Amino acid sequence: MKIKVFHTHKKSSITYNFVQDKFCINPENKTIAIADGTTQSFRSEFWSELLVQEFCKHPTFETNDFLNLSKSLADKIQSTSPVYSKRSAIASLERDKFNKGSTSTFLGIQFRDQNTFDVLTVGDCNLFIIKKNGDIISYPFDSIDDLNNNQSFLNTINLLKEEPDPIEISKVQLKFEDGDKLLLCSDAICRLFLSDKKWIDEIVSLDSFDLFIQKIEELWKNAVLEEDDITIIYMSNTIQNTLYITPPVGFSFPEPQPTPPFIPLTPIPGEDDSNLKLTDMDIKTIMHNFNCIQNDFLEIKKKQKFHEILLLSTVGLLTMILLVLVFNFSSEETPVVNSAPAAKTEKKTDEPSKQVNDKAKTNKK
Amino acid sequence: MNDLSNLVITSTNPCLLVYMVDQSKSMEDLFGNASHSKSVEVANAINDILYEVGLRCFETDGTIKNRFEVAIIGYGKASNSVQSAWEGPLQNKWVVSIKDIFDFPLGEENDKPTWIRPYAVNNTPMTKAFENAYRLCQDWISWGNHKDCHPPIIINITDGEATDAGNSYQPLKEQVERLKTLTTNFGNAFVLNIHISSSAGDRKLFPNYLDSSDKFGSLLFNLSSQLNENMLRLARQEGYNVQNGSKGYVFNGNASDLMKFLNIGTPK
Repeated sequence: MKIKVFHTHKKSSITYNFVQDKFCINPENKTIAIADGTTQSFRSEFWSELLVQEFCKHPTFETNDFLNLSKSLADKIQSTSPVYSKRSAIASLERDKFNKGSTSTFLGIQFRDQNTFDVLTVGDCNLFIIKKNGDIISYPFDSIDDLNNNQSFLNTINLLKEEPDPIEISKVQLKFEDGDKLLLCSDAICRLFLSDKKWIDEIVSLDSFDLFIQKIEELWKNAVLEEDDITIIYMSNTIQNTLYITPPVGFSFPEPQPTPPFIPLTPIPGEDDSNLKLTDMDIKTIMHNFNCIQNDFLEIKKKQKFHEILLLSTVGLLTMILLVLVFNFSSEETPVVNSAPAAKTEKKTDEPSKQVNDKAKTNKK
Repeated sequence: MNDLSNLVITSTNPCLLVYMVDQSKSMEDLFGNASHSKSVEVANAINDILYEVGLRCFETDGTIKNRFEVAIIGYGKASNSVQSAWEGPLQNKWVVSIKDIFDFPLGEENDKPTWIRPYAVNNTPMTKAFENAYRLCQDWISWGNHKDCHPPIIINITDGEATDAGNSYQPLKEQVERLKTLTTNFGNAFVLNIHISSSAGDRKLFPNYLDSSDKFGSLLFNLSSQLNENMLRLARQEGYNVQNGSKGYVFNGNASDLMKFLNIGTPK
């Protein structure tokens, strides 16, 4: 089985090390797993990573075994002592998030033989089988509504409860025949594929990260694809090598340029003078805004100067070309009318003088 | 006009939340069966919702993304006076980004930051407060790229009637209608009203029709915006029976309604 992996982080994460979608491929166990850590929960990237790694080491498709495995991993996560921020308000958010636990969705498969594989999923990850004849089977969701309505996930705190809230686990055994293609997807890209199957071919045919991210950014920009981490694991017998299409070292999305902090400009009715006094923060903000404007002006000035030079050069060049043309035009016209006959006249006048000189010479003789 | 349901609130496209807090004398009455006053309950609810907004903006890398900017307008702390309810390092600021809110808390209670203190002092200059909200929202929309952002959401919390709107409430009506005409490219500003009360009966929760003898209650109902798709979804999640056309209005709400109301009005 040959595999192609597409994986990238959402723009707001800026760098790849904050990607919360995780995957694992274990050729020995013929096991593949993907997990999507939720943005809102505490350090969910550690939780999703742990889930895929441990599942691939100890694959199980028995509900209780899987829950026990998840529970032992949840215990590992919750028994760590996180280092909280020194800023008390931020620390309270971190503490709160930690106490609410880490959350992730999950999809794991294991091949029993060449043509059969087991599937276990929790939450909104999905798989697609593209049959040789073009038919598409999707599991567990075959519509966006079904996928959106599923609220199941693996939360570390819930797993550690004596009686956890119900966790909806879907299991199935599926056939994978020669010529079929198989895709495992996290939720955002799955929504795109469910919206229109044409996107499947368009995306899995891409062969480099540059092309992949260009396509993804275009879809994000046009609001066709939700801005989220993306994971696609694509299996096909036609692919000759396992290919990882993941961000290269040093790849990051640009930091968004935030709007300068807002300061109301209209005086507020009934405001006394003290309310109009500017605080240090306001003054800093105003200075920052002035600096921005100053920089913009300098930039415009530079550009204007460049344009002036460009204009002058162009005008100079045009004048020179005009002068050369005028000169050439006038110098081409003069020889035709004056120069040639003048030369002839010279010759004519030379000859008589020569004759005169010769005459003079003969006279002397 | 762009479709609001396609809009993602981000640090480059933030959303302005304006909480208007009644600080009039009547707010010192006890809130239902609680041992504390309505002003304390409202201050607690505002502190809780700010904390909740912080949680929504807190990223896995330990930073708070500036997805929300918040104004808290207090009215009635002094006679016919409207002022920013921020205190401490944020005093005199009208609109504060969520990042600055968490950088400058006023204090801490039960391991959680607080920003707002309760006041119950004077009369109820609600018209002036709405005029103030209008000016803030108008300036905010004109600032930078805010035209391309979620329209401002104004949530008014009161326990009584406006004392600066005359008998016909015409000035108040005009101010609120003017506020609702403000638009970004994603629609009009939302005005939501919650009337809190210590009395148990006659609760009206997100109605789409109101048959009430309370003249002021009817006015606030009429002036409230209809819940949008996102708010309807949140209201259903909170267990309210809402339909398309339900308005962002609660009459005689209790403590639980107050917190849920704030949650529903604050986009996720």
